[in-house]
Order: sequence, then C-alpha cells, then structure tokens
Amino acid sequence: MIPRPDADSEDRVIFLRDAKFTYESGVEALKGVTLVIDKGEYLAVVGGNGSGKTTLAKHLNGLLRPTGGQVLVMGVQASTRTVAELARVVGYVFQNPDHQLFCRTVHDEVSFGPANIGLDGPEVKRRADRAIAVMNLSDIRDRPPLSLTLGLRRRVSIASVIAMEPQVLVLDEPTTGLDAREADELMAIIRRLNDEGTTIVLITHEMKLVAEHANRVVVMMDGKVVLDSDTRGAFSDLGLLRRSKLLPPPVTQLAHRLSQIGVSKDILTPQELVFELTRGDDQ
Amino acid sequence: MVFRSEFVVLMPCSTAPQVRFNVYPCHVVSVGVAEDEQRDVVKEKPRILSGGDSKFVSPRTVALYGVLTALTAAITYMTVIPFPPTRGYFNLGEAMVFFSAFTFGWRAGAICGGVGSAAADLLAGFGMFAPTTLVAKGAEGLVAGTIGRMKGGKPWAYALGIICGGACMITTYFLSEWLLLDFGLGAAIAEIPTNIAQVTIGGAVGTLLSHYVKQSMPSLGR
Amino acid sequence: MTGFLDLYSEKDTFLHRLDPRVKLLAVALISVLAFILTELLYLVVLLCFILLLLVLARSSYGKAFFALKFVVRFMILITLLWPLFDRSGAPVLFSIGPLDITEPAVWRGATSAVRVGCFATLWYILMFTTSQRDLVRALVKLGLRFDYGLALAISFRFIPTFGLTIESIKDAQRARALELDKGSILRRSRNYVSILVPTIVYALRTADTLALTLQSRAYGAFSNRTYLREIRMRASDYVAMTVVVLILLLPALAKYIYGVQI
Ligand SMILES: Nc1ncnc2c1ncn2[C@@H]1O[C@H](COP(=O)(O)OP(=O)(O)OP(=O)(O)O)[C@@H](O)[C@H]1O
Ligand SMILES: [Mg+2]
Repeated sequence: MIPRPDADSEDRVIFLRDAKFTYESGVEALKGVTLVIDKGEYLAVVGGNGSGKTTLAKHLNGLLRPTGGQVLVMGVQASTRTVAELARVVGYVFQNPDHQLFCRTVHDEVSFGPANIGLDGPEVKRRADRAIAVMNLSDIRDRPPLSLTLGLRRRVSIASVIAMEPQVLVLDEPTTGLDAREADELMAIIRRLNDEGTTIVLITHEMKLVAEHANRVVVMMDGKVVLDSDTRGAFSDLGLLRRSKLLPPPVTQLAHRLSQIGVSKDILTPQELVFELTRGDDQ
Repeated sequence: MVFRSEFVVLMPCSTAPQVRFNVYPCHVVSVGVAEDEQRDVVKEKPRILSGGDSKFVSPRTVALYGVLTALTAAITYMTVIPFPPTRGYFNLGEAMVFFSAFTFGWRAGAICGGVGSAAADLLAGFGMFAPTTLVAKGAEGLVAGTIGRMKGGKPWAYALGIICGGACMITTYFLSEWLLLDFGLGAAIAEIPTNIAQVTIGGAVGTLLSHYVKQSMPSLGR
Repeated sequence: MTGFLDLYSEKDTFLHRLDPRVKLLAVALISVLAFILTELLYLVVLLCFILLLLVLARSSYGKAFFALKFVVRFMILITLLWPLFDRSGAPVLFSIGPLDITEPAVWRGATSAVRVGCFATLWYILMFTTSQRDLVRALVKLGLRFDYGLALAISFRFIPTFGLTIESIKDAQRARALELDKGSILRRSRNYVSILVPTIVYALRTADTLALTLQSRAYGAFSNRTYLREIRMRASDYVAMTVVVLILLLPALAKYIYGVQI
C-alpha cells in the first residue's frame, strides 16, 4: 500500500499517487490507489469481480484519466500524453482478443501497432517478425487471424501489442477460456518476456498462475488496494483473501490445513509442498 | 451415455486431469479439439424457408437480421463525427447499410438498413425522421444490394450500387423534408451536401468492410 | 458519445398506460393535423397542447431538457433558413446585401418551425412513455409478422450491447496506437474500419449463437403461437382513440367542408 522505500526513481516505471476514478454512471471504481511499479517486476493484480482491476489497468496507458490524484508513466504525467504516445511504453492486451483482430493475415495484424506509431517500413517489419517469433506464430503468419482457435487468437493479440516493444505489458485475464496446455504455453512465453526485461502486470482470477509466476501481488477490493506484498506473503493471510473474495491455490489451502502438523503456510507450488512434507518425514 | 441425474462435464482433454480432485461427484467427458478447428459462423445465406410446417423465416435469418439491424443502429449512434447542418450528425451508419446489402443481399440491406437507421433515429430522439429514414435507407439498401451484387459483385457494380442507392436516399430525404415535414427549401437543400459526403464515405467504408469481413470469415461465402 | 440515453422511463401516467397502438395512431393523426394547419396561431395552440402532454408524461427534467434543446435548436434553424430561400411577398423588412428578407416569408418560416416543433415533440412523448417492448408488441399486433417482430425485438435488445462492444473495441485499438480523432473526415472514416470489422465479426458470431438458442427454444415449432402478455384495448383506450380522431376530424371538416381558414 505504501510506496516501498527502496523504489528508486530510476527504476520506477509507473507511479499512481492516490488515483481516483469515477465513471460517468457515478460508479466510484477507484477510491484512491497508490501503487509503484518498478522496472522488470512481474506484478499480479487480483481481486473479486468489480473490484476495479480493469479500471486500474486502463489508467496505465491513458485509456482512462484519473478524476483525482496522479498517474505517472516513466516519471511523466500520463494526463499530458495521448493514448497513442503512452502505447509505446505501456502495452495493454485486452481480455477479448476478438476486440483487436481485423486484418487479413496474422502478419498484417501484428504490423498494425508499429505502423500506427509512425515507424518506417523496415522497422515495422523487424518488430512484427520479432513479435511473431516470440509468440511462436511463424507457422501461421499468413492465416486470417479471426479463423484461428482462441488460444492462437490470444497469442496474436499479444503479439500485436508486444510488436510496439512496450516496456510494460498489461495483460487482462489472458488465460480465461484457454485449456491447461494453452494456458501453460502462454504463461511460459510471458515468463520469457519478463526474463528479457519487460515489466509484466498480470490481471487474473487464477491464483495458481499468480503463485507460480508473479513476484508481487496487489489485492484489490472495492476500488482500493488492500494488500501489496510479495507472493509468499500475500497467501499467508487467508482472512484477508477471503474478504477480497479470493481463494489461494489449492496447494496453499492444503498447506494451511496441514499447518498443525508443522507445514509452513507459505507454500506456493506442489513441489514445495512435497519438499516440505518429505523434509518433515526426515525429521 | 448419460444417466439420469448425472452431472456431466465436457472439457478439453488437457484440462481434464485436474478435475479429478474436484469435490463434485461428476462424470468427466474429455473432448479432443482439432488444433486448427474453424469456428462455426453464419454459413447459410439468409433465405426464407420454403415449405416445411413453419411459415416463419429460419432462425438463422431472424438472428442475422436482428443482429445486423442492431449493429446498424449502434454504429449510426456511436460513430458520430460532429458536423453542423440540419440533422446535426455525420455518421458511419451508411457504411453498415452498404455492408449488409453487399454481403447479404438486397433483403438484408433493405430491412437492416431501413429499420436499423430508423431505430437509431428513434433512440437518439430524432423520431420525427424515423418514417422518412425507414423509407430512405430501406430503399438505399434495396437498390445497393440489387445492383451491387449483379455479375457477382464487380467493382463497377458496387460503385453503381452506391451511386443509385445513395441517390434514392438523398432524394427521399430531400422530398420528405421539403414537402412532408415542411422544413422549407433552404433547410432541405442544406442537408444534401452532408448526405452526399455520407454516401461517398459510407459507400467506400461499407465496401471495404464487406471485403474485409468476407476475408476474415471465409465461411460467409458469397 | 458513450452509452445510450434511454428515453423511456418507467412511470405510471395515463400516457404510459395507454395502449401503444393508440399512441402510434395519435402520433400519426396529430402529425397530419399539424400538416394541414396553416395559420401560425392554431399551430401554436397545437404546440402548446403537445407540450402539455409532454408535461403530463412526467419525464425527468434531464430528458425533457435534452428533447427541448434539440427541438428549439431545430426550430430556430428553420426560422432562420426559410426567408433566405423564399423571397416572395411584398413588404421587405430589411436587406442583407442582395438578399431581401420579406415579412410574409418570415411568418411562413415561423409557421413551419412551429409545425416541425409539433412533429418532433410528438415523437419524444411517444419514446418517453412507451417501452421498446411495447412498441414491438404494438407493431406485431398491427400486423407485423411474428418472426420479423422477433428480429426487431432482438435488435432493440442488442443495440446497447453492441454500443458497449464498440466502445471496448475502440479502446482496444487505441491501445494499439490508433488515433481516431486526428486527420480529415476521410482518414477518420478509414480508421474506423479497424473498429467496425471486429464489431461486425463479433456481431455475426453472436447471430450464430443466437440462431442456435432460438432453435433450442423451439422457435417456429408452431405457426399459431400464443403470447404471455397480450396488449388489449381497454375502455380508456377507446376513449383516447376517439378523442384523437376527433382532434383531427373537426379541424379537417372545418377546413375542407366549410372552408374555414385555419
Ligand atoms: N464503462 C463503465 N461504466 C460504468 N461503470 C463501469 C464501467 N466499467 C466498469 N464499471 C464499474 O466499475 C467497477 C469496477 O469495474 P472493473 O471492470 O474495473 O472491475 P474488475 O476488477 O476488472 O472486474 P472483473 O473481475 O469482473 O473484470 C464495477 O463496479 C463496474 O460495474
Ligand atoms: Mg476486468
């Protein structure tokens, strides 16, 4: 909740200071959010339906402007920049890939963003090719994107955003509707992007993904950030999670149940639990 | 096989193994999906069902017409590019009229164009124009759909369709505003340039849309 | 423009309770009356009567203001434009360069403006007091085939949905650095293609699902279908209908049979 003291301004890519937002309909979706995101972080934003995650994310690239407080992107007031300008820095992947796809081929689709930000031909092509390679889409680069399966369509939509080579990538529920294998593949690719230095902001309802991938968790409830900690710490307070309409992944729940027999509560993955239990046997 | 009171879950095979830990006593059926499975989209050309024991048009047609009509209205309403003269708005609704006509034929063009645009007028509060719009845009869709799809939709046919359809629309509005609604010659003439711009741009965008959408959804066919 | 202002509001006035068919008839007949009246005075009386109905419709101030703003703007525009194109008549009031503004033309402009005010306000009252559902029902009762009525109902149902879809798609493309409010009208329209294509594809997929839904809910299984809610004319509806018919009939008789100048 409080900006972390070690957040030195060089590394700070996004800074929300007491950001508030009220929709025209009168819904107060953000009630004063303060949040610092550093370069290279893998941040998960979680919270119940209607807690304001999407609203928060839309502030990061200027699709929504705060009605109170400030949003700074790379140290610059977001309100002084157009969405098109911010899009070079903050890529936003919408939940529904079908809301983005319209071109004849995957390659055209991926080139759309870079062309919009006024790059020249060869550079557009370089970026599009790179994005297609990163998302493993080379085989289908000439297929019409709308006829692909959901998993592939989602990858195309992500490719079309990372082709603009943003420093921050915001993903709004990227795995909904995907089966386990597609989701795993997607998450592996996102992991790789993060390893290469892209800051990831992942909005999701799946705690398993959060536990396995994120290194920091922000829990939202009713338009406020109620918890901001590293992933391990986030899952130790079951009461708070429950009040935010969330459940930790089954493994962590199991670990909480097993805590009487000495299992530590901050288990995130099955491997850790196995390790913890076998260690218990040794003793 | 499904038994009475059974709880059956259909899911892709790769997710199925996780479900075994589920608390519900259920019967999991894993279904494999071909990698490059094409999505099922509106395949049939809309047509009036002949024969059968139903005197209604097919459900596909009802759904298609309903949705196209809603689209026309929503796009008319949402894509307003401010422009001063009489009706006070320049919009891309025209593009949807031409799109429906070129993609699905004159019947869709007439119904969706006419009703959709009239509905937009009603909802936006220009109800007074709704009857005129119904006739004007309906005629536009009908004419554009008939001419534009001649000879399998050659470029000149589209162009001719846009010109004739647009002429019908502009004339209808002009006559109605001049003689029926009695705005006076001045106001009726003042709207003609907006309408011409709207037809030109709407026609171009509508043709592009028809082209793009047919390409993205090959199953739409001709 | 975001979202739709729903003109209709749920109230319990006699205008709301009136059979929608009678309301449609009233809009048509009173429009005809406005059309045949030529004297400014009588048109003003008619407009006052219609405004009284608007008050009786008890719409919220916001909506009434929205409607009146449009109507008044329109009336002013017509009053101003009329004399520019109609330069007949004797006393020239004043001249702007080569243009002579004559007194009869100004009066005719005002007359036309009031008439248009009547037309416009009538439709507002209809939309303020009639839900879309009732409108469709009335049309079906008036002879629109059930299947087309259903298509119409479906379309009313989906207009706001597609409105939201368009908004969302707009945002999605803006996030890919698309700039909609830049450049000429031609360029902007071209940019809209990237919004309209996903919208249309989404809509056609919706149509696909919808067709299956209709089938699975036994659409068209029987030709003689029944309806859960029937609209029925009540005594008050007949009274209202008679009044509306008389409102048209009496002035029409006066004008065309007895030759009264109205
Ligand atoms: N366009 C809008 N207009 C008005 N209110 C909105 C709009 N979008 C969202 N809201 C409201 O703002 C609040 C926060 O919504 P938001 O979409 O940010 O939640 P969310 O955390 O993303 O939820 P979900 O998990 O369902 O995606 C909700 O109460 C929602 O109803
Ligand atoms: Mg959301």
